[in-house]
Amino acid sequence: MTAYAPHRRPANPDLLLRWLQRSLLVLAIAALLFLFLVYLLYTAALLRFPFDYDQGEGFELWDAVLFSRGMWIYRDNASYPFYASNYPPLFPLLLAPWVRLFGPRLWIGRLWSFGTTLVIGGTLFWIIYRETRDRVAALLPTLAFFASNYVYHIGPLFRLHTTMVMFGLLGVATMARVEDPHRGRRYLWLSLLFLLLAGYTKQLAFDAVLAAFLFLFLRRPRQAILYGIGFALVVGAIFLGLNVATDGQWFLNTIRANANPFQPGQALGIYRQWFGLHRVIILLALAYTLYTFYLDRITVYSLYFLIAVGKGALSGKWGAGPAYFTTAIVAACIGAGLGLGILRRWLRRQAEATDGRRRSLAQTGLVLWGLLVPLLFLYQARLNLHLPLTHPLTRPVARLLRIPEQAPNRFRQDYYDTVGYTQLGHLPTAEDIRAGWHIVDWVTNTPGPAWSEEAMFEIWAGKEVVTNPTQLYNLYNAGLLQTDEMIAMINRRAFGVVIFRAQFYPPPVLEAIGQNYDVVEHVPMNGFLYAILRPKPNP
Amino acid sequence: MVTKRMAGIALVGLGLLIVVATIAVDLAGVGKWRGFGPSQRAAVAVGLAVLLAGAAMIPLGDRPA
Repeated sequence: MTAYAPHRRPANPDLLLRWLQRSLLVLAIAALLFLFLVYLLYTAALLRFPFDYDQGEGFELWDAVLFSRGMWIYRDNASYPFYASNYPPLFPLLLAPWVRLFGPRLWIGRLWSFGTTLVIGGTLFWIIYRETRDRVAALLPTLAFFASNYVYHIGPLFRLHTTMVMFGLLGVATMARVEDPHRGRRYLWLSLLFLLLAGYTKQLAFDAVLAAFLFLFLRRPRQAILYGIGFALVVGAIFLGLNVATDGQWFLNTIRANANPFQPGQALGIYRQWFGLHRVIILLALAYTLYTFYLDRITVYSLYFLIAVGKGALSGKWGAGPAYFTTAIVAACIGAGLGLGILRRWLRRQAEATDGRRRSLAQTGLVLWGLLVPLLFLYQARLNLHLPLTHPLTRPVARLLRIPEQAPNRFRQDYYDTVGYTQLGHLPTAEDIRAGWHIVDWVTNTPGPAWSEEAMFEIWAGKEVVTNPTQLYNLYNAGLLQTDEMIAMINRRAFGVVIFRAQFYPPPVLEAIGQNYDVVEHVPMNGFLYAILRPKPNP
Repeated sequence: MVTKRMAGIALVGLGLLIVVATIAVDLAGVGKWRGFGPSQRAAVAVGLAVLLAGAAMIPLGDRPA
């Protein structure tokens, strides 16, 4: 009888490696999906919050209200109600029918903006998958887009920025198909339409326009010049038409009022922060861009990335901020995904080569790709970490990651963000909503119009929105605002109540209010302190 | 069709333009501050990077850009 010594089956190294690759990939996807869950929680919280979360939201809603009433949003700021918009008309025009249908509610635009981010994410996946046929290379950058702190902050706001990014991206993605032998011309026209929509959503869409036309010039110079002239004529005709129809207010409010002072330190600071938060996708996109410039053909996506990064310099303008980098983040995600997909496709081809050494090196490369790529995106998720600290779904993760409950540089202690100090991202509470209704009571129960730095209090009280503060401030600083009429009304104490948050008004206006109104209450809401002022008693 | 060489020459031109314009800002006395500030240094660095990127493309010759 033969006795066999007990032994273990030797582990299959290939199987182990595959298991390790799968585990890392699942971990990276789980980390990014967690940040997507945080995005959903934030969106849900904002849909329930009926007041301005960001100071511009109510004004963009008011633009949609004015359009739904058949009124222009480019008006004389010197005359009552001292209100005009500084943005192009498309976004409020798109929302006007919904506002007419459901009433002036912030959730309409917030849901719209959230939807545009889903379209951007879907387009990102589609672009990368279409070019590389690599699901992992398409999925990880797509999730990284939603994980970005900047995208999270502004994604579900009633602001027009993500709508502009969506149209710009669609314009670029369709321009990439211009050489399609059957439908190239149709893609070109579609691209021009999207680019036009992007430009008339927000002026900053010039990066997508420039990238698309430069790409067309590289591939088909004659067509680029002809279509470029046609495009400029259409843009110019709409521009002139708007200016004539508004008696020059369009040019004054959207162009001259936006020429704010440039603060280089602010731009450099945001560049540093943007790079620090997105270094994985940025470096991968940079590698892809170099590959297209020196080893392959320049693509519309590499141009889009470079121009969008350059445009980020405009974040140094007074009133601008990190949101100006949203396009650069989208372009970086595309570049990262395309670069990774192209690399893996090349490695796979080499792994089938007849040359044994090359085959072996390629197989090693494929193993490294499977290990390093999930690790890189796990690191990217850590760089972007942001979460509410008190929500039952995210609190366990905060504890697991040992995030301190209190920190000195936070805007709100119930929210952590790798950005550090940020006024966006936290979830508003029931207490914030109660405080908002208390301010609305002030507006409702005082006679006459209200002078409010945020529009929602007036809108909920059923009163007309008076003033767009930063617009007045910008025009005043540029010497383009007559303040006589508004100061006369303040001196007459024509406004039943004044509500301040940041006091972004021209100094003479603030001075007049100080002389005629007294602070009667301070109301904390959403991390800010709102001052309620009432007319001083007549002497 | 635009070639790599043409694109490289265009980038060299653009880089030179950025560098010269950034320096000329001081010579023309444009802007609030005197002296070569951090944003000018950044602009010159960008200009030089564009110039070098273009110069490296020129030897790629008649390959399509």
